[in-house]
Amino acid sequence: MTAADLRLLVPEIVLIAAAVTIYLGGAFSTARRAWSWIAGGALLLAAAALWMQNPSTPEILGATAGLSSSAGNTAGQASSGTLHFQDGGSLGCDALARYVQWLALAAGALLVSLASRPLRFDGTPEYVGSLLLTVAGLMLVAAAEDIVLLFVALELISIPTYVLLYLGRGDAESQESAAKYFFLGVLASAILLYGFSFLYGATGSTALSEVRAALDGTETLPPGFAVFARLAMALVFAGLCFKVAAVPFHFYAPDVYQGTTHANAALLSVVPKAAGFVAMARILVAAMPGMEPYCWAVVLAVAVLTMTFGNVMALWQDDFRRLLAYSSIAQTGYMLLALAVGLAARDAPGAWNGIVALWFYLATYAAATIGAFATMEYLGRPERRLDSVDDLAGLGRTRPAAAAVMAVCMFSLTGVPPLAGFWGKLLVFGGALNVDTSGTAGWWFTAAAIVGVLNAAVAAAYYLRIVAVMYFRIPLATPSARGGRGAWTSAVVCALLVVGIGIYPGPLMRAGNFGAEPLTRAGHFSAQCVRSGGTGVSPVLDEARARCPCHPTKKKPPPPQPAPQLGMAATKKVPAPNAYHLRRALVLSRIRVTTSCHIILK
Amino acid sequence: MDVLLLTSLFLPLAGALLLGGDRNPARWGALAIALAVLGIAVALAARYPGGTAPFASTDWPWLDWTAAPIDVRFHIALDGLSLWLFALTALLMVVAVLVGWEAIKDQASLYYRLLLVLETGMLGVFVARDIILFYVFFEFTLIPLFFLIGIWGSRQRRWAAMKFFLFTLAGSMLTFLGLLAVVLWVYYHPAGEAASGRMTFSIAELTAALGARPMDPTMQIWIFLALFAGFAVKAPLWPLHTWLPLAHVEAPAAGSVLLAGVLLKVGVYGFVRFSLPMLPQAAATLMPWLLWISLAGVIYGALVALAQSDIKRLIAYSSVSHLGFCTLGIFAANRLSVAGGVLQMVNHGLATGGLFAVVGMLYERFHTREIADFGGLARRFPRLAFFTLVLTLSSIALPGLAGFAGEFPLLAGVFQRGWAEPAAPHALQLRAIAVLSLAGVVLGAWYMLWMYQRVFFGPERLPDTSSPLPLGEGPGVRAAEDSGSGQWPVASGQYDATIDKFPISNPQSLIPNPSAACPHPSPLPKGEGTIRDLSPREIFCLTPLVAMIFWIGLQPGFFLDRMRPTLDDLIAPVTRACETASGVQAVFNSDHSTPTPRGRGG
Repeated sequence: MTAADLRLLVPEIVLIAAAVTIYLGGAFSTARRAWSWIAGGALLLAAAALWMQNPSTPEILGATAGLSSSAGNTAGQASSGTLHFQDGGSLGCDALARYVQWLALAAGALLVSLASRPLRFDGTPEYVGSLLLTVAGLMLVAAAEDIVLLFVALELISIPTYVLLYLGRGDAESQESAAKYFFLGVLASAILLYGFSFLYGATGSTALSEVRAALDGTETLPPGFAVFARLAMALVFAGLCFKVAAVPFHFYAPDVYQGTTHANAALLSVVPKAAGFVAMARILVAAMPGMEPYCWAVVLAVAVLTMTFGNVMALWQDDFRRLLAYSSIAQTGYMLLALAVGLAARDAPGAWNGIVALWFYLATYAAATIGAFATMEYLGRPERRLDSVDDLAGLGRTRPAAAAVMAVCMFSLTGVPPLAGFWGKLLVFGGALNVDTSGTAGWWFTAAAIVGVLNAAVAAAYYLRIVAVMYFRIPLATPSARGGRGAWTSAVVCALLVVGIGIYPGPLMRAGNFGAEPLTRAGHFSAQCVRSGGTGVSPVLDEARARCPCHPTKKKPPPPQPAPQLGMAATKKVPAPNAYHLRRALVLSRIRVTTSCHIILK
Repeated sequence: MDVLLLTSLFLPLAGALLLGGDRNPARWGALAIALAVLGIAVALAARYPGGTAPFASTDWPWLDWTAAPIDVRFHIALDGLSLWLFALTALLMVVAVLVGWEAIKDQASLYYRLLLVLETGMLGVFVARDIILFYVFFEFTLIPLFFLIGIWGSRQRRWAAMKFFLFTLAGSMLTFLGLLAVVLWVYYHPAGEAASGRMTFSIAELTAALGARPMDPTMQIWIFLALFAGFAVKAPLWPLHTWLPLAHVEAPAAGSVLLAGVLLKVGVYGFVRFSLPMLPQAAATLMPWLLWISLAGVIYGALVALAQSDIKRLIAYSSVSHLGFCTLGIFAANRLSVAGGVLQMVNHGLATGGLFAVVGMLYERFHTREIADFGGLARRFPRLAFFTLVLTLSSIALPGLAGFAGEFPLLAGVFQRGWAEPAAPHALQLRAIAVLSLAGVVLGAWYMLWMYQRVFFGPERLPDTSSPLPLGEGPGVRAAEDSGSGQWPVASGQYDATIDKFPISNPQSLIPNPSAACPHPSPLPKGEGTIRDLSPREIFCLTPLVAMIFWIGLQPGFFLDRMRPTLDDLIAPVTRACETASGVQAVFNSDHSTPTPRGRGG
């Protein structure tokens, strides 16, 4: 571990340290607002640290004439100028990581602001602290260049999420939803880990760069190992499908969203989803280059199923969070379509390579969804949440500003220009049409694009229904709108983002393109030079240390069911040499799983 | 950069953002802005030099995204096709603002702001010279109209707004794919020298490129069908017209005026601007089909209009019939017929827009639109009768009025197509279509004159306005009927619809007393004596329409000369494709000799 490594980790360290402080301080003071401010400050500090690491960020966002004049070879420029690898680490702070880390910080700030006045009073410090941990986890997922670190980072998102779900409401429904999410989440982690073990078994390394080298045909795999690689692909994809709530791993989403708070639903629909897609991009797109012919078909099928299922089911929902849960499933479908395009046409020119669409879509989706939930949160009051779509009746008259914010978010999710969602759809469908039609792949993608646009029209039915309820119906009661200034700020910022990106999407597209750079073929080769010298022990330890205080219990946790099986399965499959790292991760994750299991079941 | 055109485009939008407060400032502000835009439109039309060069052009980069080839521009300009529709929009906007002057009391400032937003959208559709910009405006018009229908409409307004939005969106999403496919095709099949590496979205450049190097004929047909989906719904062509009568009848008067006058033209405009020049072979191949569909619309619309008992519904179906004529002319793709079709679009906007305004005025006075409720109005309301007569006669193409000036060249062109000298492959069908289309003219005269006779001539019969409001039109009754087919079926039964849709500021509107509850205040029908003929405002609102009808009718050459060069340019490829009897083969045999770099497209 060198000083340079540490420097790369500063933003995450700041967040985790802040979380620790908040956990500890929470024992002495439960001042809600103060903790939210401290969390906001920590996010700001982390942003500053991220900025210091890579001062060229403004150039990426500043899509102005100065840069455009040098058209042509800017792709090369961008990658050489800003790729930021540190050797000898399992932490690849490349452009992709940068993009997602900025996204994570922005989403984190919006979420902290949204939750600054939780409808239920106790548990705020724990709540805010856990929120910071999930943001840190997302940032680590983005940077992970090693499957062990990746897994640990994913767990760093999952486990605080279990706590958050429990802290949200504290009623029976919320416990049910927390337990549901927890058990399915653990199962998904097990599947994912099982997939990782195959990946390791097939390639002999946990470092993604070595996995990539082993699979891209430059080093021949022993006969039969390709099957393991495919199996690994399927399992990893399945495990991550849970995170992004894709069919058929979506079943938890409607129940969990309905049973929790708006703030939690916003978190669930953004952070795990972003993490899942980043992990998919890192593993399926970047690290398994030989697998695309199998992979894109699976992803495409899941994408079409997911969008169709989500949209159709959402038509019948009356509960707002349940509706948005199905909506988030449907939106996952569009993002998976982008991912499939990314797998099938990675070398497509700029905008159409799918990954750009994925990153862009993710950001616009996050803004619109957080905005919608924040508006709902704002409209409620501590004693009574707004749950049903009908609670919004007549909002256009009683709370015109809130109704306008909500309408903007809904239209953006529908994809109506000139809002942000439209450009996301443009990139996704344009990418799908762009897939080479000389093979059969092109026709499949064209068909998927047609299904996708028809789906968008179906989706309009339920998004518009919310708008129609707000504007076309008589108000039954004026919502009290005592959800707090934080929620309102968050909602307004989201609406402004949606409109702003809609009117001038250039900077975000440029940023998305920048974030896609490491995954395109060109970016790929430049990434080849980075070889991980071994798993980075430091981040794992840092997290382990940081995460200790989040388990307030002092009792010995009961031995949980899933973890031992998990460990056995994994260790059986993994051959000796590098098993150390995997086992290490398993031990760490087992500690986490058992502890949080205990918290939940308490 | 042309300041005038930019101002006219963004002045309404700025007005929509700034207007506010009470009804009076809102409506006077809206009127001032509409008049200002009309003034600009007149100034632009006066300055129009003719010819084919774009006029009043502004071309700014919008998405000059260097790392990707996308080159979406903010490019607006006028030409011989769009200038007239642009001016028509500006004119009808004044009518639309005036027609709801007294009727709209509820949320008046929101109403006028939405109207202004709609104006920006409609003007933008016609001036956009970039495919994406066109599409942005094309869909953007849906949002304000959705609200206008849904908030200020009558009985089934919610369902009408929803159906209108969903139908149009479903179609236009397919159009979106089609447009993207065109762009991608041109990108991968550059005309002339090697690819420039820049993906153009400019309509002019795309048309030129496709003219120089036509698309593969099968591909043309697929893309044509994709474009057709959106434009045909918007136009609307039979059998995709079902949203139109509903939306027209339920919309407030201003909404109907703009819907009939401008928004239906957007679909036809799309055919002239995109389908014909970019996909000439497909247009030639599909010509009999397209003409049959148009003819079906003409006849079907006329027959259904004959059977209507509601004036507004009758005029709505007459729109289906008349738009069928427009597309008949457009798809016949003959110099005469296209010029006639485009002029007929303008005429239809004037006449039918005016008729919808008249119906709004009748409704404002009598709160009914049933033909059977009226009789002999001409004696008591001579001014109303005069204006209606001119509009009706123009609608049925009386020589000397605008309708004839458009319909005559249109039909002449269709006949010319049927009896063209080198007989077309489907000459017999084309001749049958030409002859049958005359039936539409006869039927049109029949239903319009019959309606006029029943309402304005014969023994005087005024609706009984002193009794409680007629069925379905008072707010109380209207709300009660909302529970029927009026609402979105998914949401049915969720709320108590009997207390729906009252201005909450006016709780006594529950009382079924028209003088207290009526939302249409001006000349409140207490007895027969108070109902007056057209007020100066209403005369001011209809006079420009009638004046234009006379002008176009008496001097059509003025307009035709100015649009002809542009139109000739636009349809030249189709004419060529039709004229070469085996045109499809000839063109593509030559095309196959040049090797295509990659099979691409949608």
